[in-house]
Amino acid sequence: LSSDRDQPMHIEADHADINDQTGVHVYTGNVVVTQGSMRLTADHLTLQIEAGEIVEGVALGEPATYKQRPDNKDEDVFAESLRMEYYAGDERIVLIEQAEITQAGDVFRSQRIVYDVARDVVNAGEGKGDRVRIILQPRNSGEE
Amino acid sequence: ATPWQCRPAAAGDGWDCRPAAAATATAPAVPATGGTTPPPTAAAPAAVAPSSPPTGRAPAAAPAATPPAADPTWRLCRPAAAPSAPLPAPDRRQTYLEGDQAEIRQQQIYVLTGSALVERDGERILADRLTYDDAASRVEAEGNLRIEQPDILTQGQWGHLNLADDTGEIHQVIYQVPQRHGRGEAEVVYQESDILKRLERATYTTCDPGRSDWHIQAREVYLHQDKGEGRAWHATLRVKDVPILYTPYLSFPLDDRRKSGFLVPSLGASEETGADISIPYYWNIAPNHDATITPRLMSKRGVQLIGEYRFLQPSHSGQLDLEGLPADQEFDDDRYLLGFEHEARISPHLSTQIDFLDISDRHYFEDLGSNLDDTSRTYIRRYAQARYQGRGWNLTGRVDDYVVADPSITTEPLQRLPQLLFSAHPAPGWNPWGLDLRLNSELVRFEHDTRVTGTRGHLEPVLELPWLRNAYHITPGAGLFHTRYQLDNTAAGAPEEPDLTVPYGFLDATLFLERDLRLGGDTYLHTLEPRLFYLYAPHEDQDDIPRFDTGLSDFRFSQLFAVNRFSGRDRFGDANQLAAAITSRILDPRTGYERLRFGIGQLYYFRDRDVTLNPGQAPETRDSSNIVADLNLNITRALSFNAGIQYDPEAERVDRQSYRLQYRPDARHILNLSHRFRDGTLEQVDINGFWYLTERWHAVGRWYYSLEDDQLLEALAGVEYESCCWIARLAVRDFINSVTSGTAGSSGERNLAIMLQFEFKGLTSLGLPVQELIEESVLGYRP
Amino acid sequence: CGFQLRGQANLPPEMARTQIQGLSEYSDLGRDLRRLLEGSGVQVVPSAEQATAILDIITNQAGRRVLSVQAGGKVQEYELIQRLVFSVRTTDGRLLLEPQELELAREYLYDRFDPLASGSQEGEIRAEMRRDITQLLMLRLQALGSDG
Repeated sequence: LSSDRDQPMHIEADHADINDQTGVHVYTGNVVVTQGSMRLTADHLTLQIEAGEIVEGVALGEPATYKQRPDNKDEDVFAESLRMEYYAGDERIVLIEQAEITQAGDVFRSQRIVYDVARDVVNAGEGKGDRVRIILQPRNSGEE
Repeated sequence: ATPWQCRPAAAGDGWDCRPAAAATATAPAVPATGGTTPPPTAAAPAAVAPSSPPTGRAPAAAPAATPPAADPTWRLCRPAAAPSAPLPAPDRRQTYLEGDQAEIRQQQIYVLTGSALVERDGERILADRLTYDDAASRVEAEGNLRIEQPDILTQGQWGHLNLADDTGEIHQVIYQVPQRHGRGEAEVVYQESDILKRLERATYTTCDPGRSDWHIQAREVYLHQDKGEGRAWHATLRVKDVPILYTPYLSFPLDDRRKSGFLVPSLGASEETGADISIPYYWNIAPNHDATITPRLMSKRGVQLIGEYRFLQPSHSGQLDLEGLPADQEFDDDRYLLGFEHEARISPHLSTQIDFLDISDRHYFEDLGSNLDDTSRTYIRRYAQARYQGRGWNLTGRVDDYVVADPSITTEPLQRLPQLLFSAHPAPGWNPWGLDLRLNSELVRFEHDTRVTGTRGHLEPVLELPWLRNAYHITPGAGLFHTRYQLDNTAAGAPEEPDLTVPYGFLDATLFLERDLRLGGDTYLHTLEPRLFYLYAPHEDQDDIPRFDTGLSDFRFSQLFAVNRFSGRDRFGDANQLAAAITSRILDPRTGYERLRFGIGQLYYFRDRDVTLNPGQAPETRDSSNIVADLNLNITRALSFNAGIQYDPEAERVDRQSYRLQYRPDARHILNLSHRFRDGTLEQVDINGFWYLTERWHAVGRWYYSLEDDQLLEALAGVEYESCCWIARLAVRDFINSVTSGTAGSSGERNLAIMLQFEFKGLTSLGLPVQELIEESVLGYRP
Repeated sequence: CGFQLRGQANLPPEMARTQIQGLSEYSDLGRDLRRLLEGSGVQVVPSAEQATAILDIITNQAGRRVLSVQAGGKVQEYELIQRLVFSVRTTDGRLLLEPQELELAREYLYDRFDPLASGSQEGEIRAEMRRDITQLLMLRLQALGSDG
């Protein structure tokens, strides 16, 4: 939800390594980040903080997972991949290797998926022999 | 790692993945790894990303060759096109998208590039670039567009398709209808619904790509996939690009269902008809009704319209034939034929049959008949009957008469209005002594304008005491032949109520002998069945008995054991005779297949035969009959030889003989050589055959010559060249079709007929007139 | 010369209770067939459930063809053809006798001036051929039986 940004963010992990000079926070072991409807899990999370705001983040996991409730939708979006990168500036999330997004039964799968949250645009496929596979559930409205 | 074959799981979420090798086998589904993480990922082995796409589908691959089409019609063609991979099940509602890259905007617009693919409802769309609007279910495609549907494959440059209501359009199209080896091009294909496509400026042919010997060019072609029919409007039929036929409307089949459409037209010429062009049109009215309407244009006679309407219901079926030739120039009168056949099974016991025919004149078949079967007709029997069949008896009520189709015959035959037949043959258990009773009876009214007519009653009970053992059958029996008449317009002084009552007795004994016989390494069962048949019937004067349906039966092997040498019920032959015969068989003991059957026998008369067909004829005084012998020999499964001989011992000459050699290795190669001789009546040779010289060249021929009259009765030579998508046939026939003068032995008028046919395979639905031509002139031809 | 009286001519034991399929038992051929089968110890049953074997009459065709024409081109001899294709299987699906074809052809002289007499003769020949073809069928079955 766009309202998530105003929610408090909680980060849990086995242990954390905060370095305020560089603004680099590294969390390892059962990392769980929650903020409003968003929930991120990973084995290893690196955040770049500038002026108290997250500028970038990289999550690694077997796989790393991400869940968020989009505006005016009654189903969460689930995403997972072995490596997730988050760029706050242009609000982009990049899923790399065994990337998969699922929402209301629709499934998107590829080796690389870029999700532009602001423009609500997803780009998938690296082109090197990789195939993007998508399954869409039947729309009960438009069906003949 | 073995590539996995993943299919959307039946449950509709996630995947059902199996090792590709076992994809078709019912290997247990590999349960996707459950666990807390959200919907299961493909159960690819651990961390290593699946290098090759699991399903390995190459969208733009050349169409895989399907197994050779089962329909032999297309055996000479290259295999028909096929979808690049098995199509998804038509009822799967999910939409499946795939591509090298994908961009999804607002979770609604999916732009796929690089061998893009969409699958839904049993269809598949492939293109270089696809844009799919999920809300509107609309696909826009461009570059190497291919649409694969169950019975049609469409390729184009670009187009769009609505997957929900199956509407859309495709441009610069090449399409293929694999089931009928059909294909063509079109500028635009408008998909009007899931079962109807409208093609603009389209072509259609069934020839192999690159070798379009013929094709149809039409402004519009509608492909009705539900009816399995293609309809072309403003169509021109072009052979090697030469337009040979324009027709505002032309239909052609898209599958094997019966369809209305033009059958194979035939052009011909004959002395009787001059130029003779007929274009049959087959009208498939309903699954159990159809009609064939054939306009036949004859330069010497005019236009004849031939109509045949058939209907088939579970309990009854029938056919109506109407032929009309107004103002036949040669005959200068109108000519018609009306035929009606009907068969009904009202209950397991009760059935009715009707067979009615009327022709405008006696020359009808001679002049208009196109084959020897028609032109050689003399009488056509027409009747209507109802028959009740009980367990051991049956009752038949019938009316019948005969239409004369031979101008040289002036007398009208008798009519039977009506005829009642009752026959009973109760099961043997009705008496403790094993007696077997058979009863035949008849009550019939004969009508005629000039001849003696009247009512006739007939009763013939026969009692037998069959003594059937493995080694012998002995059957003594006795019967009573009783006929009574009530006659009208008899000659003066002739009795009006004569009757005929003749008791008769017989003894039938057969001995069964057998032995094993080694023949070429196999052991066969060789049987020998000597048989004696003694018959006694006193003489009763039958000179004043009229002759309604009686004739002297043609003497043959089975006549040796007949109780009456006359057929019909107006005469019973006096007899005191003994028949001696031997039948020998060589059988394959495992299947009972008969390699050889040989029978020889003769009758020995102990008194003269006084009863004759017509009063005043001299009695038969010979003391023994012709020796009659029959041989059926299957030399091999393909080569069979049949012979029949009758030798007259007193005149020491052969009275009758017939030989027939048939070589029939398979349905495509048949050769018959036969020679028939009846002393003083006929001696004829008939050589006929149908032969696949090669897969493409087929020949049919007949040479039928009467040695007795030194005359060629029929000569036929036909050749057929078959290519992948067309067949050309040429047949020349020279046959006798009418008698100039009325007396026997006069020479007949000849009729030379040429027939040319050109069949565009797949354009015409069924019914090959030439098949009838072959069936009737080549014995044993069964397509 | 090695001939001796036929030992036995019964039918294969599996045909103890046989149902005839493909033919109405009330038809002439059906009645003759039933009579011959029962004559050699086989019980003909109306339904497959009661049967141990099924005699399938696959094809039963009677035809007539112009065999010869005389000089004037008119029919002189007709050839009557009777063709029967049958097979025998046990009710548990074993094929006892694969499809066998029996074909009889008899010709007779057609009297151009008396169609009724020719018609009677044709009727009598048809009856003869029916008896003969059922006899041939029985011989085939007996050959199967004796081989057993």
